[in-house]
Amino acid sequence: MNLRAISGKIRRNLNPQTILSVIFIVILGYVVVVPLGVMIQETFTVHPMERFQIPGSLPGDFTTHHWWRTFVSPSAYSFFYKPLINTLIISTSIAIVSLVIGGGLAWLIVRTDLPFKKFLSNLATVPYIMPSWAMSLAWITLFKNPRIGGSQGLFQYLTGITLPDWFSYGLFPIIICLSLHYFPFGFMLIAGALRNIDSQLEESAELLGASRAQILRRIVFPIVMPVIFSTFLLTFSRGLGTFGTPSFLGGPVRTYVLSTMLHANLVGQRPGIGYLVALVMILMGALILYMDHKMLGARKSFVTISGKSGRSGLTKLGKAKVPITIIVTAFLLAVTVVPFTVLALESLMLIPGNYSLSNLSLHYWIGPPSQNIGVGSGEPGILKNTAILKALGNSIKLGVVVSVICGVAGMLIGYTVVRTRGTFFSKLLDQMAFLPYLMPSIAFGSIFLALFAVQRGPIPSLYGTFTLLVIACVVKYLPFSSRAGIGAMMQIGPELEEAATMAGAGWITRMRKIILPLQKSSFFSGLLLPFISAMRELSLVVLLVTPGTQVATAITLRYTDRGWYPYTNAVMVLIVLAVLVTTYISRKLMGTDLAKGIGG
Amino acid sequence: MARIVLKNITKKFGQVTAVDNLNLVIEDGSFATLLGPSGCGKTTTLRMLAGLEDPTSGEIWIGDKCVFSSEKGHYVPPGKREMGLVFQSYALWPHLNVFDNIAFGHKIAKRPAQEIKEKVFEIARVLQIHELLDRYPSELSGGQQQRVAIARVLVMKPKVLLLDEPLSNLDSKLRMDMRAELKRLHLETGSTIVYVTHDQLEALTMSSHVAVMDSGRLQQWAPPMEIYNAPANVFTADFIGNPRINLVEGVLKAGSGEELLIEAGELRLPFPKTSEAQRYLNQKVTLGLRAEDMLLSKEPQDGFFKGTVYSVLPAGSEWYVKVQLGEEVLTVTIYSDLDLRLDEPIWLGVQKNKIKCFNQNGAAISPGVHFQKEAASASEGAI
Amino acid sequence: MLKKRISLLLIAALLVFATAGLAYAEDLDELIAAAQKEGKLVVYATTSRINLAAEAFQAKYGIEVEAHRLSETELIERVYQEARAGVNAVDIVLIEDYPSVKELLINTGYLVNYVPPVAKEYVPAEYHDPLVFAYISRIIGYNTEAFESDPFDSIWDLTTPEFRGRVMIRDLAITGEHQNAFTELIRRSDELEADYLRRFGEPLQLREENAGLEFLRRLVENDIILMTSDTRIAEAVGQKGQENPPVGFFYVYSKHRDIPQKDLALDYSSNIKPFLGYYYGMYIQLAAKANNPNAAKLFANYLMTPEGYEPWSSEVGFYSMNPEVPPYPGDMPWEWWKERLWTYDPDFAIEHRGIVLDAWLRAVVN
Repeated sequence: MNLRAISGKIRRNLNPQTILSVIFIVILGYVVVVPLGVMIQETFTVHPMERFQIPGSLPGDFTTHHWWRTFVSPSAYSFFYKPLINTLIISTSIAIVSLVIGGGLAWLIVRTDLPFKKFLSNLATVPYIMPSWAMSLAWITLFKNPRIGGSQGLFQYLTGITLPDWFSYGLFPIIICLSLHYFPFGFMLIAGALRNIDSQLEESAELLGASRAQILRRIVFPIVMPVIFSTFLLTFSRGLGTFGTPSFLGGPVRTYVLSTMLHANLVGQRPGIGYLVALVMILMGALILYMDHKMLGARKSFVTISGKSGRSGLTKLGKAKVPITIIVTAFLLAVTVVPFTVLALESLMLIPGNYSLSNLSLHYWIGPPSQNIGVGSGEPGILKNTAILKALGNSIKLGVVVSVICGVAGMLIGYTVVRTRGTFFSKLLDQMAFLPYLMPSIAFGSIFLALFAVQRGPIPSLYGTFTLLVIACVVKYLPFSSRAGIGAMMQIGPELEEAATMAGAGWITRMRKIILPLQKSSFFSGLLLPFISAMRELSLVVLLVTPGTQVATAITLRYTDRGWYPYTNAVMVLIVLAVLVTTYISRKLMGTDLAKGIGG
Repeated sequence: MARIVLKNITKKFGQVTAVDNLNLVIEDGSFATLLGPSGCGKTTTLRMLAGLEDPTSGEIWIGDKCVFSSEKGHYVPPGKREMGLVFQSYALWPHLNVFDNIAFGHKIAKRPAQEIKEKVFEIARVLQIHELLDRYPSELSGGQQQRVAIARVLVMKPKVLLLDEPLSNLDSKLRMDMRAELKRLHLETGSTIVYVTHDQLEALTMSSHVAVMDSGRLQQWAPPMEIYNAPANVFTADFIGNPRINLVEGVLKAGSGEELLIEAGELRLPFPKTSEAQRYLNQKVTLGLRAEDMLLSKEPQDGFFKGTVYSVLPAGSEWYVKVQLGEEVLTVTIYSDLDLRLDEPIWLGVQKNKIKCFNQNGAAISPGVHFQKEAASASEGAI
Repeated sequence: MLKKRISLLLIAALLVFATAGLAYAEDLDELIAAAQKEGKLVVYATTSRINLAAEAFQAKYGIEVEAHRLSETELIERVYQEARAGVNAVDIVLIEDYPSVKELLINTGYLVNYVPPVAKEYVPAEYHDPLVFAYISRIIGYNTEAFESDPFDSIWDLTTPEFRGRVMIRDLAITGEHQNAFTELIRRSDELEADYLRRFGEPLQLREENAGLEFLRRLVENDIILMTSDTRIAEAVGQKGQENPPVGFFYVYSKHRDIPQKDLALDYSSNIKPFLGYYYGMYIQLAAKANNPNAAKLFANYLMTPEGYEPWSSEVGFYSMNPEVPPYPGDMPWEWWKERLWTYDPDFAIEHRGIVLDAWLRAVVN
């Protein structure tokens, strides 16, 4: 090919989606692949606190000791395999339970004549909004037994029954609490899929004489399969990296999980060992991701909302209707209202552990600084505490900025991935945009800090800046937004855009006048999850916030560490309220739907 | 001038060749149809013309401008080729009403509002959708949507109009009406039209020229009646015409005197002894007979072949009779009721100047100019 | 002649003392002047009362202070990363987990020690390097409702069936100072072994390498309860109305200040042998490349004074090494505690911490 031909070819292919894909791949390469590479490298390096167990080594030396220690040493069972088994049990169980609860709820709400559908489906998304440890705190408050001392658990107080250890602590409550926290994922995704099933598919099967069960098995299941896998992937990965709940609920019965090991080693300045654990977690997540993609094939089977799905497929619950409604409502109220109430209550109790009415007070909210009232902290009530309010403002700022950037980036990535579908770039971008989801926050934060603390090439040191927080959060929540963006883009046929091209519209005009307006509702939905997550985020930001960029979640640590839990809980209540209000307003104003926010 | 030239256009998708070395010249003002079964490359060709796909190699000229050349690196992007494309799915923007859909092109060209309004109203009136301007696409019927799609394109006064199976989503009665409308539109606007369809009747009724395509290759490029009367190969002969042409395998033999003989099944039919035809002497050939080019007689007649009635399908103004002739079953169209009964003996005759013969590679063996002219004048008389 | 010599000597001595005092006064004044010319002082500390001290310092000297509270590990990570990035954000730090700090920040030259004038004057030299701001103690406590008197004789009691599943400790995996402390148990294994013999009348059967690790293992194997916070341990142990309350091992003594507020029946064991617990230091260090070195020095000086120490004086279990600082009323004096609490050797600790953590992880997981 001669030069003119080649330059012509290049010119022709310089369209927005190609340029965008290159830009995104480069950016994501830096913020995702490089940290990964750094992690791998560190697992082969000796670090100052590690050298004492590697005789004769100096910091910076190459070593295979960490790998040996973790996988094949005599203590490998304690250091790695047993926690791994616990983690797998937990993650798999969470995924399954979330699927069952979420899927069951989805089916009841979308496919039966259950009443109060709107109210119940709104309620079903709330558990994710609350911090995951709120559920474990509620559990302990309700179900603790004398093993852990202190005041009586509510259950024991009311019934006099002492609960067994395996119920109050360890794998059982960990699985339950985390499932109850993550089932909204399953609910939203499966409900979305069920809603989109063309009723004609089922009707024709019915006409052919298929029974309900057969229809379920042969028609509904295969269509819902991809979504079931997505749910499994999302919840399983989350289960891997979570630290707070297993630590809190597992400690009393010495249940260690991989994230405990990760945390212990990173915090103990043994990153060589710590990152190795992180790598294992990432690998497991990647494996599930791979299986997820295999199951979905080329994802051609994404059913667009053609407006055809009618309500004619509603199953009648008959006599079971009332009891089921009661059970479902009670369940949802329990998992949303109860943890929130526990949080709120703890922030209103002057003396912790004292449940009498006379002990209720707004001191931690609006009280003056005092050494004598309550826990005697000398701190003003949080609503009067300028540092807290400022941090809350920062949190909201962070939430808004992150969600907007994520939303736009997610939409652009969605555009790029779908418009270049089938090409290597498309698949690569799709995977890279999802990778951050698999990385445990604490490892991620640590590497990010190292990556951006120093000037590298044209990128200045971002140490201590708000920008660094934003970048870290954007990268972490991009998986949500890109999935939402891809999902939204898939519903817009290429011809709609081509028609605009033929009418002479440039790329920006097409985005402005055709693509964006059609994606409006999905776009705003894609903003919600990053907003909620950024407001709730702790483990990622803890290492990156500096005193000047303090956010609400991190600032509560100053209370947690001193044992002044009422303040912590009050701040968390504020955060939850802020998120709930935002979600509600956005739903009313812009018709956002959390399900679309994760690509459902 | 909007004369379109496709030069050695090839399009490959990975290992698959969608369009293979296509050469086509579409004259200004003509109504060219790309006809073929699905997967033959016609839509791909259309999209390459529009600029939505880039050929793997070749050149495209519109007027005196080269809009694409793989060798010389020329390229005019879609939207700048002064072409309009009506999509098979219409691709109306669901969030804009009919007026805004049609006005879109001029709006982004920043024409003054009054001018836009006039232009939109004008075209809406022509296409009889002026009462629908406030509605949204989801509120329109299929036919209405299609007219909006056409209006959206026509309002830009393109030099070339590209239509991708625009009638396939309509019911058959509406389709007939729309065909007439489109043909009128062609005459009124005088623009060049490139039309893609798999419906051979559409191609025959509407076009000035037809490109028959199969598996990415051009089979024949000619006016409709030429394709009908003198198909270039078996594929084309089979694709065009309803009912399908009867094809019988046979051998070309030397005949008595001035003609060669085609022996196919029980048929013995003469074929002109041209120098071309003589090259295929004693080789396998395929005999092609259109249903309407044969005659039936209840009585034996000279030169007729005896067969039995296999089935009779009355179709209003004509009858489709299947006649068993030895191993073969031939379909014959007759125009008057012969009151035939199944398994009744029947005599079948063939209009000799309508016989089509194809060599063992499927290519037509030309019956000679004399033959063709006869055929042409005969069919013209028939219209 | 002699008289003249003596008087000369006396005068010389007087002069020396005078100048010393003057020198102190002069040093301080110079320091103040230099500090006030500098910018905003930035301090990281592991104690949140630093905010109060910062406010008072600011009021006193008119120097703006930005104080931030970080956990031990965060502080180390933060300073480490800042130093590597060439970012000179902090001027002075109050740190815990000295062995880690020494290894990562002091040996690398990011932090330097400084002995302020008031320390030179009042604080014994052994507490100068690293500069001790305060010693913090961790003790072993029990519920005074359930136990009328001190229930402990030896730490080995905690490994007996009597206390099976009733001992609480903050998870070593997240508590660096515990790991440091246990290295001392390794270092003084023979004392542990001796106490075992004393208590049970038979020699200790070792499965681990030494008595320290053996103790750790048996502690865990006795169904230990892992907690994530010392506050919750104190509350759990001291809550009234429990039939069978747990006991707290190695929790921070300062939690006892909550006893009246939270109405806890809590006390520390003064009988348990061979130690009542351990103590560790909170130290003041200066950033080697501080932007405001003089302000930092002044602040260090201020913190070492009784006035500067004031926000911490209401903390029981915090011990300043400045004799001028009044002790917490009602508490035993530091000398009493020092005899009975163990502490660790920083160099030994850093070398053996990994062993402790690994032994812990092994024991806990099994």
